[in-house]
Amino acid sequence: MTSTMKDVFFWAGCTVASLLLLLVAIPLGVEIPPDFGDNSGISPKTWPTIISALLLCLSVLLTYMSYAEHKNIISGATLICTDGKDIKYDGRGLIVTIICLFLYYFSIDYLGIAISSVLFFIVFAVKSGERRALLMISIACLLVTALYYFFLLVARVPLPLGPLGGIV
Amino acid sequence: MIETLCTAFDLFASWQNIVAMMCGMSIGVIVGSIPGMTGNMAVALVLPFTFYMPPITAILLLTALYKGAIYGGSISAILIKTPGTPAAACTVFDGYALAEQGKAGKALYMALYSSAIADFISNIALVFFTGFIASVALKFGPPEFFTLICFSLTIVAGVSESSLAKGLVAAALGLLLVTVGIDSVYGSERFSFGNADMMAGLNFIPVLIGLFAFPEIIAACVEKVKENVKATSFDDSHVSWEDFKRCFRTIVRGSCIGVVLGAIPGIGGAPAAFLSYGEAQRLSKHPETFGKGELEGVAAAEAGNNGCCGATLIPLLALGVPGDAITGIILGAFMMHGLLPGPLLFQQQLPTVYALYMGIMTSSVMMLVAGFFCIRAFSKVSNIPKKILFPAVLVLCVFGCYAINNSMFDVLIMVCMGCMGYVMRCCKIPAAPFLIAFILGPLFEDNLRRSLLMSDGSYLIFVRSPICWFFLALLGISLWYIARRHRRSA
Repeated sequence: MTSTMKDVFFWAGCTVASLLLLLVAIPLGVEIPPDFGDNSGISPKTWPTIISALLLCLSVLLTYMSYAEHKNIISGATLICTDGKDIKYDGRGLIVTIICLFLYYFSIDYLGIAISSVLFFIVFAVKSGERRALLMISIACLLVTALYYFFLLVARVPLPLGPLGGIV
Repeated sequence: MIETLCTAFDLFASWQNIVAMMCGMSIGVIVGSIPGMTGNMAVALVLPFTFYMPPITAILLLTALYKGAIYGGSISAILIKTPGTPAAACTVFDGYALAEQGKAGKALYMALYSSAIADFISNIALVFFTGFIASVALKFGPPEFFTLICFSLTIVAGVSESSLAKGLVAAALGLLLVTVGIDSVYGSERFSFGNADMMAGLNFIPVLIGLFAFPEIIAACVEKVKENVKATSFDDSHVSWEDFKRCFRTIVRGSCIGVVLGAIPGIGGAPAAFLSYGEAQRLSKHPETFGKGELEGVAAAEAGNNGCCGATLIPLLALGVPGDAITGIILGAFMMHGLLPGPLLFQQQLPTVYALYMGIMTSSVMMLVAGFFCIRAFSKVSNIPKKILFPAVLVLCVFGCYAINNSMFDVLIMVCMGCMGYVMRCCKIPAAPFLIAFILGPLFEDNLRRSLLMSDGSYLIFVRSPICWFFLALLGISLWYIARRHRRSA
């Protein structure tokens, strides 16, 4: 699939999302007070509705623009401009990274912020291409210990300790 | 008068005051540069320690801390694309771009100079124009605010990069996300679906960090960092006299914007920075360079947010009204030490007020000194390879985000916004308009609805005063300028 076609699908998806927002999310998600008068300008619904309508119009416009660009490229009317700045990404790598981010978030509840941070520092350093194990482990431990004591003792923030709670 | 000044000088000129200010400024800069650690948090934490200090020492320590924190936010914004404080959000646009070009030193020093100059101008306004500025600020009602925010929102066009439509999509998303939570007029729920965390709305800092720092971290993992690439390059270059001369007008303009907006209770540094940035871009001969590493952009943003610092003390000292959360805490410090800000303070404790003025004026010099030391120390960050720095930033962001409200919900918001930021990056949707809309959105909607409530639904309220007319005229000029620029580029 060409990048312009991907754009068409992306903006078409945004159009559908804006429609759902306008027709489903706003009626369900915005509460109108029972004693609300007839001044529509101050209704809690008005502002989100205006923005969603704007979003819908823009999404339609961008879908059309992407489609027109796609057609021009296919018909050869437009030369594809490759300025070397297009972002190439590995889809599987992206999914794994996002899963790791959420795993980091969920692990804090079970392992505490310190252990999870050491663990995921190493995971992300490996994912970024670092291979020196000793360096990674020592930096992870030093950084997390420094941050842990700074936030706990200086900033007086009660951090989630996890299994370390009993030890510290 | 001379006698009062001599008494004030006696009160101010003690080594305790100087040490307190220097400590406050240094702690402030360090705290401000840590993402998630805000000036509010630092001032609130230090407040109990000031209980046993003399009143002037205590208040000078807190104000120095406040100013240091506002400046400190720019350091992490420039070096790691993670603004330490919301006020430094605008500094990211050009600061990080400069750092990527190997000009981190230049950006950091320009941020320091513009912050110190803006702070000094703000202090002068505090000392000499308190009465006048306080009276102007009091004339700002919801319609005046609304027209001001309308004008400020035109910056979106300037930061939309190549596609105005994509910039508007980003702005619309920002405006939409900021409506999550309890409605400020009726107290009804909007998009919170009964979730207690969502009812409080989305905190600004997790959104900010997620949108700017996380896409870089995800990109480093997905696109694989090349062997030992440094995060940025700190070239040790200082701002040349030519650079400074070129940016001086922007700094003064940004400082004045900061002074006016800072004196209005409830506005804060972030909108002032954006407005100053927008004006600098509009009046620049090369507006297209903004967002791509323009030194003037750093100067404008920093002058705007630091211009607010002294000015937020204007309503506090003149009327006893705190302009934002930090000045609210400083008001608490005044009261804790038996001082009641307001007109009576000027009648009954004039030497104390003058001593405070002397200290506040000196704090601009302290900012320069503390800034020089901190820039040298923080410059080491730029030598760390990306594949170590980015995971470290990730851990720092998680700690910082959690610390804001002691809430894992903020961490979740940061992660979600990070994913959204990466998608936006891939689709070439600029993040800056999202951020501007997210900051200005609540002010825009609240003032629109409050104005309509006041006028019983009549839109004529927006043309009721000369201040409204002034901002509407500026809005018209701005829209005309945007249309002309787009026609030319087309």
